[in-house]
Amino acid sequence: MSNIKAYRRKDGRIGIRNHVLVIPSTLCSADVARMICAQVPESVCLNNQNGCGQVAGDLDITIHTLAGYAANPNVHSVLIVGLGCEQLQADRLETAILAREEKPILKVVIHQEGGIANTVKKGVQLATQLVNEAGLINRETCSLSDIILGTQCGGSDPTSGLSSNLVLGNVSDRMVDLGGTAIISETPEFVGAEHVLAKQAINTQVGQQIIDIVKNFEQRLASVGQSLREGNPSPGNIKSGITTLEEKSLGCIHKAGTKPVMAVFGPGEPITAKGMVVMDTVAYDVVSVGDMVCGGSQLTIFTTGLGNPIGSPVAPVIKVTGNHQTYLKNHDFIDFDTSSSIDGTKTVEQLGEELLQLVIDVCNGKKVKAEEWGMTDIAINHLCTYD
Amino acid sequence: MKKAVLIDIADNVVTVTEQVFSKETVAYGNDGQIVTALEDIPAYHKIAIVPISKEQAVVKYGEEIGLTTSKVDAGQHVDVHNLASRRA
Repeated sequence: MSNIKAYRRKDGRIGIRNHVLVIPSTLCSADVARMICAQVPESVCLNNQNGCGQVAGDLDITIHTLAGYAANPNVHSVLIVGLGCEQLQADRLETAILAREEKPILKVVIHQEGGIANTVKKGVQLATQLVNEAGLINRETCSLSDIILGTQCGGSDPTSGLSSNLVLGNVSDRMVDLGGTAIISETPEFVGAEHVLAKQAINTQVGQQIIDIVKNFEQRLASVGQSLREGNPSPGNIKSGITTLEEKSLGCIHKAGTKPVMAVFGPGEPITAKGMVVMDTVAYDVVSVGDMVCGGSQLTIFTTGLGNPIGSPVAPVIKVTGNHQTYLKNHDFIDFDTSSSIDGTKTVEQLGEELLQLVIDVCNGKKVKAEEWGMTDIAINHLCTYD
Repeated sequence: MKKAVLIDIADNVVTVTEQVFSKETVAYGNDGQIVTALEDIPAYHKIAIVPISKEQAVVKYGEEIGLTTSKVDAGQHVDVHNLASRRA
């Protein structure tokens, strides 16, 4: 059964949530944006620390990321909260979003309204208006084939490679068989396993792209005198039993399942392919989940051996662990336990089927624990320092 | 009997699924294979199932995960003290 009930957007894509997203165009208006959101509980605020004081390359990344979040099909409409003097003017952000997708966008600017109280009052009015409009739209029967599933691992321990990533790979395969898309990202966590992932590519060109994005990542860091091995594996990974980055990566790539990798996309680039795809992102979880969301992923399955509670403001993040102790300790933020594949009481196939059913339930509106807690942090990548 | 997971037939380490104490026997694989722990092995850590010489490949998932930095005996804990990435 591959039908779900979702929101059909103007461009034909489907959303499994119907968010009103409040975006401060700059850090200077971020607190005011949060004040607006606090008074409109059905809205959600993006934590934007950038938007001014940035060199052009960094401002581009900021605009690309914010517009990507706004353009995700889980977002019904946007309220931009600007200061008035910033590099990323509200109009400029609006234009960038509309270039990605047509949707209702309203703006409120502190210098135009005059003062915080006036801005908050106007912002609350506008956000409430958008929430009311969003409430008029109903879910309709749609297909899982229109879903782009993000896959992620974070706070990994050896159970990730033994159990949870295998189950996630099984779900990736099922999504592909149903005509949908699954993304594997986090390029540093291909290091040592890129040749294995490249063998899964649909052709030698895509295989070479996989090898190249890993090489380029290491070279970019080397060119500024840094090594990604300094931070990866993390202290938690090592203490839990993952000794080298290669060992970690070989466990990570199981998330990609067994279906051919069809294409490689850049960070936050709109996903336009069906099947299994790679997105070239950093491994920092909040950023890589964010980049997949910016690419159009409506939900993410995130495996965590040690327990990572992050979510996303715009898309449900289903938390999965293969470590039963972790599940027992942290069950208030973990949605699914795959540890029965280690003790043999269930097979990877059985767990994959159960996890896919959870995906369907979440698509139909069931909240994941990260949503219930209101986990909405984002992080925007950088080229260099602020100016 | 403690248990460990053998992921690939080419592996020279297995991953224990619970805390193992020195001198305990650990069962792994589908053919009744066992190894005796020479030291304590924390849950989900690696134990060598064959001797591995210094600067030889440690194999898990059927692939090299790094090189030993000292000689390793069967039953020894394989971790940061005796295993490092080849490219490190």
